[in-house]
Amino acid sequence: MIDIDIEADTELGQHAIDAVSKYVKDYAAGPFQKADDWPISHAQISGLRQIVGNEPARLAEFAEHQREKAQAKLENTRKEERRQELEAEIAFWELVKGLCEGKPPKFSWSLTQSRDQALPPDLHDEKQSPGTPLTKEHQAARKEKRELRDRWQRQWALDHYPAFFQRFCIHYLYEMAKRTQGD
Amino acid sequence: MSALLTPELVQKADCFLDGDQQHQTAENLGKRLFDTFGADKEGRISTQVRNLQQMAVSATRFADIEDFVKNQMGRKAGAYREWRRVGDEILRQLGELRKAADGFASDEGQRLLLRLHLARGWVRAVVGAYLYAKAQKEMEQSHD
Repeated sequence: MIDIDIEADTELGQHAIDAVSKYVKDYAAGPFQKADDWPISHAQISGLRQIVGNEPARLAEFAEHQREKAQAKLENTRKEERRQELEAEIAFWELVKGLCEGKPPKFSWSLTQSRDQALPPDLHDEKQSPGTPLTKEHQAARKEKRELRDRWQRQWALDHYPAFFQRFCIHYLYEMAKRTQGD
Repeated sequence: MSALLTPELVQKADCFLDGDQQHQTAENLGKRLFDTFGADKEGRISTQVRNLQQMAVSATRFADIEDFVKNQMGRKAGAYREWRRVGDEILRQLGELRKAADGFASDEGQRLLLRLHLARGWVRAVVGAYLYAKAQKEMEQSHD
């Protein structure tokens, strides 16, 4: 058993469920009676799961791209119903990006915040007093530490992003199924 | 992290599974699974029930079992309609196992192991009741 199993099973998973529940409450509770009317379709959720599985580090960028596309559509749409759908879609991609790298006060929790808190103390940069010249040895040690930290952060993302977004996506589709029972 | 289940914790979990109420709940669910999924074409255990059993037995995270059920309910093809009939009750029962494990230990590693232990015992009881319901139905049919 490893730590990520415990995290995925408890806090990390609960953050994913809470994020979806809040989104559904805010954007998908009332008007969407059919699954096809939901702001984010099955196919888009499948795309999201695929990106997370293959390239977790690019997820925030992907979400931003999706948000921009929806935003562009919104600017050319006058029909009120369609505008509401697009606003809900924009909110979804903002949420995904925020869950990846959001900061307080808008996002009190995000994967990046969680990762930074979990960073082992020996991988933190030592604070240098300003103007202190760095010896070659110090520079080499810093570079080595930076490489170790990058490697640690990449591994952290590979472990945590799929675990988090698997729960997130499955819970979204579950909520969609529950609220569109007639489909 | 390496947590271990002590014999005392295993005993607590087993006592919980053996309790009358838990036993009855699992039995009712097994019958419901048979009413919902029936048996497969050759009269063997339903693939859906076998998949649930397989997931509960092999999962390394309890959430994977919950996700499996939600995933089946959230699908647009296959047996999703049947899963939507029984899924919330399965999730409720899994939630009870989660609560029980939290009550038995305070170490998160031990809690996870307890959840998995409980899930395996639970699915054994549920599938046992499913198979009993299936056998009863077959006996009824053979007497007709």
